[in-house]
Amino acid sequence: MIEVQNLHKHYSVSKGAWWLRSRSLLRAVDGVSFTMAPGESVGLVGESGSGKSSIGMLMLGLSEPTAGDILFEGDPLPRGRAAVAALRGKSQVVFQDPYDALSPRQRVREIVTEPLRHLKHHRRAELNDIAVGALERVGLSAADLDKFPHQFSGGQRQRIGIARAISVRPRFIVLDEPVSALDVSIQAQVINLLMDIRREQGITYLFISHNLAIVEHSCDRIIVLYLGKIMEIIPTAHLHDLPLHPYTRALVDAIPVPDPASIQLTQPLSGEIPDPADLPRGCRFSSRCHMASERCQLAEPELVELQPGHWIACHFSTP
Amino acid sequence: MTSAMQAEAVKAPPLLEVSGLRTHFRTARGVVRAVDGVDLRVERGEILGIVGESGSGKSVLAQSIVRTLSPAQLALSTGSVRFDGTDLMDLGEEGMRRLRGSRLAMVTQNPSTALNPVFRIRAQMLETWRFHPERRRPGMSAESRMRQLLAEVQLPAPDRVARSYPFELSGGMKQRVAIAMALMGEPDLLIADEPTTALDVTIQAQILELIRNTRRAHGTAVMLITHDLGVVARLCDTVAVMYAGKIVEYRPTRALFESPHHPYTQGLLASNPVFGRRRSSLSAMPGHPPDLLAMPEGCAFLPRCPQSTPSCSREAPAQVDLPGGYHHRCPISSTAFVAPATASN
Repeated sequence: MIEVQNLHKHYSVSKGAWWLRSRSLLRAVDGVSFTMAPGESVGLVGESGSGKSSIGMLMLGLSEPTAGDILFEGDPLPRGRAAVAALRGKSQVVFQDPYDALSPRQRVREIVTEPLRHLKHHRRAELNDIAVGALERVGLSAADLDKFPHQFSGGQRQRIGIARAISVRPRFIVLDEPVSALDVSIQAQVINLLMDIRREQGITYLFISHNLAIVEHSCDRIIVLYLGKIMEIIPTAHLHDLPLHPYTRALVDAIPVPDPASIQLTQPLSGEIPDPADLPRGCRFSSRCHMASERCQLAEPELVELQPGHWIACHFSTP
Repeated sequence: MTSAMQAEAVKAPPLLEVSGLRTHFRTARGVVRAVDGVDLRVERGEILGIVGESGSGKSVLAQSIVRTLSPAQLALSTGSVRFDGTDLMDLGEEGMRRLRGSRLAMVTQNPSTALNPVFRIRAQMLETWRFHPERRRPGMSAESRMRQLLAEVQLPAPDRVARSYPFELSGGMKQRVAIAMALMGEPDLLIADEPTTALDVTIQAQILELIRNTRRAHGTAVMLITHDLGVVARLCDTVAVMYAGKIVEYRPTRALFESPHHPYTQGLLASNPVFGRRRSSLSAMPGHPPDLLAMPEGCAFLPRCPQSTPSCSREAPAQVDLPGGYHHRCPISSTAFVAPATASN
């Protein structure tokens, strides 16, 4: 369905005071390759600054890769603005903040039909029917068509954002932290809705999240990113029976378990994610890894397939 | 806790005792009853979690305790907030100013709002000692106390941090500075409003460890406001669950997680995705939190409640007291109050 090949996105950033200014290269995405099967839900996790959202934007054609290719159903994505045209009607996005993602001046009818109007395939009467269908699918109704976003709660706004995304019957949706801004009692409703829609329509999801518990519930496979590189790709079903990359392990251990009776032995990961414009030598996780040895600072480990579907980039996993 | 310590705890008055607290706001569309009759207490060295969704009144509760709300907006502000024997509601602005930043400190979700962008960290940290001479440690300079605290919150290179401006620090570092600053006055009570919500899980784990260590080292009591049940389970001794301005369940953490009584608590626990317990679908709670300007008659949770009866719509359920000073607000739910298994850790 989708094949990402050696994707790079570099930005030039300036550092220091103006009289000492130097330019350096920020490698937001630094050689990322993976594939997505039709109807698959792939989770993309990592701390802020790991390059999750950058990959999402590249896959939507909203930013141009520095190097590498994205093959969408076999065809490489053209460069520049042509990428957006090539994906029109095929891919969609749901953003994190339902307050920022909907124009406050548009009515729900205009919001939900906007992607369709760009396609120019439909007559006005058809647009209305599709909008009602999409709204009903997400649990809203035709009565909501002429309302404005401010008349809805956060969870309902996120439903409007989902209705907009599914109105064109896309084959691929990037979900960029779709429930992080919602209240706990609303998160589960929205996750269940997204999973039902995927099951019915066979849409492929790239599910970007910093929350491993949510990704575990929503995804078939998980890609763990650190400073623009893949540390591990793991089928969700094996998350608990395979040895994990030390970074994935640290992310798992950092999740507070909502059970006061369980004893959680956590050795919190020390320090913070390094400056992506000034990467550690060798393995980029070595500066925070409790296992790191001399070898880790000398050479960057390759991403290798240890077991079918389980890829890991760690010197300790490969002899 | 040994029985001797328990007896001691019964005798001593709690550090903080809130009773019948009401904070109502005047808005263009009507009066919002943001906090509507809250009773709770915090013992010395206790960590109390306040859980609720946006609009449940948990942040307004904190602001009502430290009295940082503008009186012009308030339609009603009644009840009592006794802090170590003094009722803060009767204390003048000058008295509150002496208390804030010294015996009563607060850390907010966004550390940038607590730090002044145009002053170096050092100047801001030392300010506490200038305002609160009584909180100084004899035989210790402000400078060395600051350095000690910056090191205690595990900031790498405390001297460099002290010379920095807030914009030069990451979000996690700013939150550490905010906590170190709150500890300058050696507070008896630290109110932390969503201190880790804006941070990565890895940094959150570090900050939670820091709060735990602060309690251990200084005996600081903490009132932790959060929406994350995992954080509560890991850190808090006691939990108060808020819904629409009221505490619907207030119990020791273990008991609450083992046998949640209020249908809202049950729903929250069931809908929370737990890592390692994957299910084909999550048991989502229906509906959405109520509009505080259009509150239903009777129980505020009624429209979302799976256990409701006709009597629930007649009047708001009264607080039902439990042994030990705890309480809940659901007379319908039949969950037994199982005594929690004795803690081994």
